[in-house]
Amino acid sequence: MKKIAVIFGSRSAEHDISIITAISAVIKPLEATGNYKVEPIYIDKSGRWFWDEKLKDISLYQSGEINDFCDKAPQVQLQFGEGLTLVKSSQFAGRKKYQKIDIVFPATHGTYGEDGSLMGLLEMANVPYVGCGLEASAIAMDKVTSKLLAEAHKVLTPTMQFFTAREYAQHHDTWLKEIQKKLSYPLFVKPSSLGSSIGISRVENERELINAIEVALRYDDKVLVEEAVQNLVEVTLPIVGNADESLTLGSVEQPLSKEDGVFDFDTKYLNQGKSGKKMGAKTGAQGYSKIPAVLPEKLIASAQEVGVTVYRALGCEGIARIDMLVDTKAGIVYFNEINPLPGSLYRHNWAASGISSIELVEKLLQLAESRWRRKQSLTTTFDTNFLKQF
Amino acid sequence: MMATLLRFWLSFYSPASPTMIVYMAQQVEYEPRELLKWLRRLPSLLNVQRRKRLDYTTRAVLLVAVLYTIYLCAALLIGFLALKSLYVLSLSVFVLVPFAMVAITVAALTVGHALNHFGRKRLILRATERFKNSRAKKIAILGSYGKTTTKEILTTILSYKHPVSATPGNQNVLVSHARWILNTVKNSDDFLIVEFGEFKPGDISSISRLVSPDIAILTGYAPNHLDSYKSEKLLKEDLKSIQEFVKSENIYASQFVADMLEIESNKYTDEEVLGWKIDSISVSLEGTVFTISKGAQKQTLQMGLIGEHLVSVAVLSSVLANEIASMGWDDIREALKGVTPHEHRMQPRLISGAWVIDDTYNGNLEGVRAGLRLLEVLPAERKTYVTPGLVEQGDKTQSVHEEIGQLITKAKPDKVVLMDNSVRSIIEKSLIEAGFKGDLSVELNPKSYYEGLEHRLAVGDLVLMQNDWTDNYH
Repeated sequence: MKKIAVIFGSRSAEHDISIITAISAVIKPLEATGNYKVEPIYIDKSGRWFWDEKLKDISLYQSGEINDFCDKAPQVQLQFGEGLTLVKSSQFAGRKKYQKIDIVFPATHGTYGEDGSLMGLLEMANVPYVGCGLEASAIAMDKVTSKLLAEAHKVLTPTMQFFTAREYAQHHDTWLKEIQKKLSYPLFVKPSSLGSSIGISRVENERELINAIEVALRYDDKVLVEEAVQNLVEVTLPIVGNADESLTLGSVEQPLSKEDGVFDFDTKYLNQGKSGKKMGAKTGAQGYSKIPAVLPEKLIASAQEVGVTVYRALGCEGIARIDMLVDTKAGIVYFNEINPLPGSLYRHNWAASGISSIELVEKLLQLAESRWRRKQSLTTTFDTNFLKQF
Repeated sequence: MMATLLRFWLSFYSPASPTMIVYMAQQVEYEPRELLKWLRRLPSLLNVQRRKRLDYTTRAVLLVAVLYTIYLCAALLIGFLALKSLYVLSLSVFVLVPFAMVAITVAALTVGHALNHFGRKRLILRATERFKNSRAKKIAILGSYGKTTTKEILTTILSYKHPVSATPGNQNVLVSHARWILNTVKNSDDFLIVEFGEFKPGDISSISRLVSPDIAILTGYAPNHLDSYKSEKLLKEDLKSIQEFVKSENIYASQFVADMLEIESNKYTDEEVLGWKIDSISVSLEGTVFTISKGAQKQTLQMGLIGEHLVSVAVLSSVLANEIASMGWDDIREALKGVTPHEHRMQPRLISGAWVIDDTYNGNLEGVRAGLRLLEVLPAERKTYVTPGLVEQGDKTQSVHEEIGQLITKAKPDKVVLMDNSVRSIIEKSLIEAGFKGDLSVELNPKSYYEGLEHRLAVGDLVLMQNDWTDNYH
């Protein structure tokens, strides 16, 4: 029986979302197969790591008992060398409990998890892990970098300007003029780092623009200002696959926008199936979306093409979700942002596309192992006589 | 064989064994004979509580306490005898511990049973009087299968215009009926609908004496409960004994049942019920629509229940409502619309965007046939059939499960999930011999399979789950 470590929680604004993803979308389907031993690893909000069977129980978090648990339970240590081994004190006579891990399933969202930092750690441990690698995760976290990379692959993005806090502080008048010269209102002002929709504003004039930039700079050193897309329909597309094989696409889904037009996808897709009866091919989680999106076939095909191009361009592997903006009158699909670990793995979308949660997680494990095997065949060291010559 | 026996024997020495024995007693409603039967089938005491846990009622706590006392006394005695170097005696006590535990449990249950006997007798006498004095028309529903569904359809239709009481759920034994009439039923009812369960010879006569039925409906016949009836002849005689209590003109039986039991009655078939011809049946996950006609009269009816096999029963209930309860067809049509699937009986449910037909309370071959016919005709991207097989089929176990394998193959599901039990290999072999082309898997733990079902499903899936074995079957 393969040992799968599911890592979740972490020092992130999306800490709680991560718990739901881990327990409902990863641990339960994996255990339902009866083929895996799942080891839950929880990172609390202060960054402490824990490993215990009790961590699979959602009521531990809902009741708030998790804080008490973390204060009393021994922390887990990670041992590298021939993969990853979990080590924990058994609290009896100095004995330790060891567990070698076959595959890691990261279920962390936002900072210290989805941004590539956890992936770096797992690369160092040389253990197969699910999802995007270090580089793709880091790039996906930065809206500006991911958009520039998409543009380099001839994918359209909304017209934008970006600058750092230092650049804005030194020449803010110039930047304001530049923005208003090149872009037309209404505009969106966003902190460049992805992770949540905090700090995003829609502005209609210069006064609002100045305020919005100040707000965005509180959350990030880099700010992105872009034109709002007209005749807008937002769509999103989950994709599964590795760089060296064909990709599996979910359904192009149409989240229903809030009135202010802020792209707040994640919170809408939690607890899939909570409303139960309404689930199915026609509506997405909690009835917040339409699956498939109500768009002409040509635009659906364009969205799929944009999704696949961006996924490949950013070097995504395992799973990612690409958010796009569609100008329905002009018939143009713009890339908006990419999420390398969608909340609850977007399992409602996969279910609507004919792929069950079990099939999804097992496919992701298989992709993780396949990528790891591919990497093992690469040469990373070689013998030299540099030291002797030194 | 020896290893299995040894494993079973050694499991009695587990500290959990007293709780397990009491759990088993509780599951068979403290019937000593049923407990012994279960123990004979059991491979080990260690894995008994697979579906449920012991409910710590006063009776259960007392029994657990008695058994733990024996367990402790035996341990002390074994130790004492060993210290006195009486090794042979000590070993003999050790070997006898399982015997002692079973014997004391059975003795306690038998004494309890005897003490209850007089109380039960008084209860039944009072209930018999109450049934006799009731002004309501009493309708008995009996047969090997289809009783609860028939009772629910008839109750729903009659309740549209009349005060009606029916035995709850699938309760169908003497004592539960006695308690029901004394504690729940009102004097103002026009109809009392009573489900008659048959588990051992004489059951139908006993319930008939209690209820004094005016009308009887015999729904179906299958050789069930042969473990206690010993032969089909005795089972048939028991069902046929209803004739001693209800006049033949007031007995309604399907043609098949009437022929099998050789019983005088009003007969109905899937094509015709009491002169009404059935046609244009259309089944979907939303329900069943059908047309009935008699001479110039024609009625199109619909119900929320799914399955062609339920139409004749729905028509019989409708015609009886018309004839014995003087209900008009407009009322009957409206009432029938309110007949929806009962819990775990061909109950369609939408889970993770997929359709699951929950027929886990179905435990007979006719139901299996009907379910698989439905699975075959309903459209879906991927069809899955889940079953542990049927219980209490006596010497027909082999042939019944071979037929199930053939029926599954004919229905062509993409996937079949069997539960690991004593009949699994029969179905498996039959599937292979019949040329089943789909995916076949065996689940070791049914409970965890059912609990994780939502994770296995996606839009386009159709799953039919038929029957579910309780812990006392292996």
